[in-house]
Amino acid sequence: MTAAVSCPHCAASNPLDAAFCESCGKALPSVAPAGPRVVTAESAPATSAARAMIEDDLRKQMKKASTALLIVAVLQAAFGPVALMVMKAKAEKDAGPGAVMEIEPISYVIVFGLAIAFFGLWLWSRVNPFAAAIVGLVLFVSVHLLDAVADPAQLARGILVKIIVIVMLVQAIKAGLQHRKLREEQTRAGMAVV
Amino acid sequence: MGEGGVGQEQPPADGAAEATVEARRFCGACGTPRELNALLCRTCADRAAAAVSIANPAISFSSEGAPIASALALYFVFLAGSMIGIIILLSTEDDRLGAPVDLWISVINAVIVLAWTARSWHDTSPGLRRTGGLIWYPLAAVGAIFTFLIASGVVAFVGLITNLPEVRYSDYLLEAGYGWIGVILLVCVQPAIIEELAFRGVILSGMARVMAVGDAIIVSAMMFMIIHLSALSFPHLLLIGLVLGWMRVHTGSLYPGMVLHFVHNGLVVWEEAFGGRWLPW
Repeated sequence: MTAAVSCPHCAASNPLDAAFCESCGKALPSVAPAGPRVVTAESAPATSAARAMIEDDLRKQMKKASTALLIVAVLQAAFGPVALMVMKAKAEKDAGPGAVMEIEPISYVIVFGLAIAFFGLWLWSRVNPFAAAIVGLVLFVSVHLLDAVADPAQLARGILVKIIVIVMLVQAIKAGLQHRKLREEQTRAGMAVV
Repeated sequence: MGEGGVGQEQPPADGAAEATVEARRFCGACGTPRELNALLCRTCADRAAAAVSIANPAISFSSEGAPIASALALYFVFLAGSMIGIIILLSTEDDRLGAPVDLWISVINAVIVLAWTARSWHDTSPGLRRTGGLIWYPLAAVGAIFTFLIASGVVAFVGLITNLPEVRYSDYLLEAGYGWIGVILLVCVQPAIIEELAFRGVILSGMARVMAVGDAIIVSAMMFMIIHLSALSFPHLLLIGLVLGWMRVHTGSLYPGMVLHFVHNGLVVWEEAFGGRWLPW
């Protein structure tokens, strides 16, 4: 095997793909940038250590679902009533001066019911982030689309938070799929080794 | 096995100056001192040994994620259809538009669902090919009586504590001249077939490919519940969705669920036709 890399410390020759000098153990100038570790499905998780590493990363991504759902639940509980007040003020303005509009109790039920639903999804996500993320995404987008039909201006309010929540949920879903695929391969590999 | 297994050695090449076997004291991959006569340290040797492994295609929504993406896409397109109907009705004062809009949206959503069924034929067709045991059909009809009673109870309770107007499905269709046949087709037949194809066919089967069947039943039931966009109906919609999902899995067929769905909606229409005299509330 022809040596290609010369160690800057001890001048010994090393193979092209060596990261450390085989003579003195010091690091060789590397070609690949030492950046943050990016885990993709292309990196073959062949050893149990590598697999655990990737599973860890995936679990962290799946946990994003829990965070997103909790954010939604808290915001819904906190700002839901505010949104009702805004709608009440708008309706009173439309109705004319001196008008007083009632907020139906059922509106509060729906607003807080939704907050409770997202809290429930948050709890579920701690056990099953994949399924909870899917339902959370469906509920979140459906509710906000329906809101937008009733009051298009509402869509723009807090649009950044809404986008972040959606992105987190989608990432959690993708991570869940990867996690499952990893598990499947583990089982298959385990079965292949007799 | 890849190169660099413990105990193997690379013979020095002729005529090239390189670290001799004796001088190779450190692992080239991680710099830790290595065992004598080994090219790599043990950890790196393990990793290198796994160099030949199954090629992993990147996870994308075009491969492993396809069932999820397809299910979510169907859900949102179906939702969009319903929302377009809502927007049209909200933007006009003409009450008579209710029936034709309902008809058109039903037709469009039916076409959408049929297209998705064709697209995911591999997942959906087993439910259509099997019929399940014969006993399931009378069971489904009887089950529908229970789901109807629960739904009526929830609706009556909501009516008690709010002053929301009662939702009636047949009046505006009859006023538009569609007749009872039209009512049955739009309120009973279309939802039974199309919603079962969508939620228990495409969505449940697709989800079951990437999660446990129990989870798939729950997720599809929740999506079924949410698409109706009626928060006050969520309790019985979820219950019915779970029952229908369980039936699809247990019988292997979509047809018993279609029967339950049809009878349930049929009882709603029956009650509207003949009044609530026979119900305790």
